[in-house]
Amino acid sequence: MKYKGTLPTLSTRGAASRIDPALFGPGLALLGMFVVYSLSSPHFLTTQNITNVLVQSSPLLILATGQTFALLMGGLDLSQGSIMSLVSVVTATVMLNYGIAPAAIVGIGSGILVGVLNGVLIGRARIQPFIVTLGMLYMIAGAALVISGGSTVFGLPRPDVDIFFWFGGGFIGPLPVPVLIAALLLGVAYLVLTRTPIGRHVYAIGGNEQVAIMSGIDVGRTKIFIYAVSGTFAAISGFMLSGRVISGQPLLGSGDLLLQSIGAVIIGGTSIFGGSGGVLRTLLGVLVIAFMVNGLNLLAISTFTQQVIVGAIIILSAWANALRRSR
Amino acid sequence: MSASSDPLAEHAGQVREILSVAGLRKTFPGVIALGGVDFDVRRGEVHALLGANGAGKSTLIKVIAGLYRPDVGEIYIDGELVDFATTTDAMQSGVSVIYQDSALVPQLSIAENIFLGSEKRGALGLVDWAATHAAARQLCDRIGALFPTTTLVSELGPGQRQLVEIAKALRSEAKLLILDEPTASLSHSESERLFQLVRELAAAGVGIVYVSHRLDEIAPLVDRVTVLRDGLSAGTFPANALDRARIVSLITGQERHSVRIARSPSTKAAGALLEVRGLSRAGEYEDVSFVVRSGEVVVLTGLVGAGRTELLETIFGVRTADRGEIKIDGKPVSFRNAREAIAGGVALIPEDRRGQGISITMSIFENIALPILSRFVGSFGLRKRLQIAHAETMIRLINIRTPGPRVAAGALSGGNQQKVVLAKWLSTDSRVLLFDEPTQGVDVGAKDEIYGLIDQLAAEGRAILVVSSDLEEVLAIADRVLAMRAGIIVGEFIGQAISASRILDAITHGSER
Repeated sequence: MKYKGTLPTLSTRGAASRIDPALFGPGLALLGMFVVYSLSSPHFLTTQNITNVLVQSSPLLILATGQTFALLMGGLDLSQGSIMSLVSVVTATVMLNYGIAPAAIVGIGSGILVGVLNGVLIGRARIQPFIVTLGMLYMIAGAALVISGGSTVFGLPRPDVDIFFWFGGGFIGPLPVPVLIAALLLGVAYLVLTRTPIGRHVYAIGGNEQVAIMSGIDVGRTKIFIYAVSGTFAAISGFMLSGRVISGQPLLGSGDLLLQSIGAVIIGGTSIFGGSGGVLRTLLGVLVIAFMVNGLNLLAISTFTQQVIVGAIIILSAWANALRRSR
Repeated sequence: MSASSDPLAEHAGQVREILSVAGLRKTFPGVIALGGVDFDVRRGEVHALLGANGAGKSTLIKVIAGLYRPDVGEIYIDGELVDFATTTDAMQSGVSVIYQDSALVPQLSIAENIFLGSEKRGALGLVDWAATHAAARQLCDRIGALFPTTTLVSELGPGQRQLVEIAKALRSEAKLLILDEPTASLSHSESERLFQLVRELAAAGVGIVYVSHRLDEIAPLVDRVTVLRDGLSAGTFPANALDRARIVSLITGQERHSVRIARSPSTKAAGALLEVRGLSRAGEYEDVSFVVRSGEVVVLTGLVGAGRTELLETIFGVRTADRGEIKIDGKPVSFRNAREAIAGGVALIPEDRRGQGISITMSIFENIALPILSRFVGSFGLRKRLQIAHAETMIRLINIRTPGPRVAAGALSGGNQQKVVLAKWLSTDSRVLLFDEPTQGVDVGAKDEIYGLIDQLAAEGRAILVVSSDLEEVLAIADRVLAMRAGIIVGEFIGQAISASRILDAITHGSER
């Protein structure tokens, strides 16, 4: 009988975690950037600059962490940007009359609700994720404009607005609050994906949905969970970013944040076909984008050129992953 | 190959054999699919290719069609040595294969399907629709396919689709036409129409290879018969020199009539764990009733399309019966999905291993743990170490050959992949185990190990229902055999009465009802 590999020497240990080989590519890219930027700009490797980059990339990290769930199951979530806009205007509108606590609950809750709705349409009505979230992208973007009347919601009351800003730009000692929130959510996502049955079900569905069904996994419920997570993370990200600009912005998430979040997951090395990847890869993907852009700014390279470079990196990293898998 | 020319004149001065293969050998990791086969087809003859499952028929066809390359051996078309790198090469040499599952694009029209890949072009390189439909019309008329050529293939029945496939083969000017189980999904009248067409094509000089399990339909149609057994040719004979009994004995091989030693009778007396009464589902199976007792291995055998897989999937809850009743341990159950079935103590080891059994991108331990993940949850969530330890136990227990439990399941050989699927389901402690073609694509050594496992599982008091088309396998493992044909159970054989010829007779004729 022939089989691949050497003869088995079964170890009862071997449980020690190995480093994910997919982390080497983006990790190396990040390291290279640090070396080049440090040598070419005196402003790069400073506490001030690094802190700034981390604070600015926190909303993206949260967004991309949620997006990772959707890509892992072989889907994607196009409605994340619209959810941010919705959460922004709902939070601000409620805060005008009722203060920060009800505003946070209703605002973030509205985003979670959209995520759950996505999940029900995908998991129970069995409509393609692309179509559901594309439709939701428009509906929710429209809803945000309707609620705010199309204009920014200003004039938030004190002291609520100070607490609101604290979430997006405050500090605990030397540590920026948004970075702490992003790190906490990343940790939770990591634990859920690696340590809970439903997290492993996400991978199983992405790897082979038919196998998942035949293994007795409640695929519909798992999909609702996935899009609820993606929606929740988008909502928190939207809440944080609104706090940073202390207003309700109906167009908060209509820029390229959504595409950056998908791009970051791909740069990190999570397969768009699902089944392999993870949030640690996404963390690296976000850092690559964030520091790349920051360094190019410091080197006074125009934002137009930056776009070209970010796009090329997305393609290159997908190519690198394809090569790694074909080996 | 134009219909108007005289075939005999056309053949003058040419070699008689349209196809001739010599010493063809093809091995896959752990399996010798073809062990040096000689085979030839003459111009204008219908040549039947027979053999049990795994005898090497499909491999032989795929080598001739350019899908596989042989390890050793030569293929001659029209007396010329050929070496097909792709199926396109084979088609250009005049080889057309009509496979069991349709190779048509349902969303395209009949005419588009016929000319797919060699579209008729007009001015500016655009598709010339008038010429396409006119040519398609001509081809369809020739084979008596009367529907408009603009009809979408999705609107056609299986018989009509087969006609379109034949029109496609005619378009590519096939000299050699291979039909793989062509009547498996056809009605009686559709089959008759096909036979007539096959005769006409042969009369026009096309060489035809006809692969079939249905011995009764072959007799009036074919000129010669070649039987494959275990990757070797058991001989080529004129059709009129063979009778049914002789064909059956050639297919099964005499040495396989050994009767297996029945398990100790004490286990037989045990109660019915799985009971099925009057189960029906339109178009798939009809009024099926049987019981499987604790400690018993029951094999459900029949041809492809007899409704066996559908029956298993119904018991497992992924299909719903129109009528009838399923009882587990005497209690009526109606599982709505696999989750409920697993909770009810039923496991299905599916036929389509890569499609339904394991996820090839996931590691071995992840695959094994998938249905029972909640067992590995500690106070800090899922514990990988427990999953790996469990996988290592299973690897040792059922002898999965792998460097370790972290290896991707897709990297293993077919037999070892199947063992991973087994490990996965044995972990669920199900009392009713449903196996669908458990050793398909599995090498001989692993086969015996899997049989041993099935025996052992039965000895532990589980009820085991196996779907198998492999006669040798049926004889090796069955305590009782249920023969199924066209959705109906047509025979039941117990102990000494289990024999290859009786089973083959029942599943091809259905005369024992």
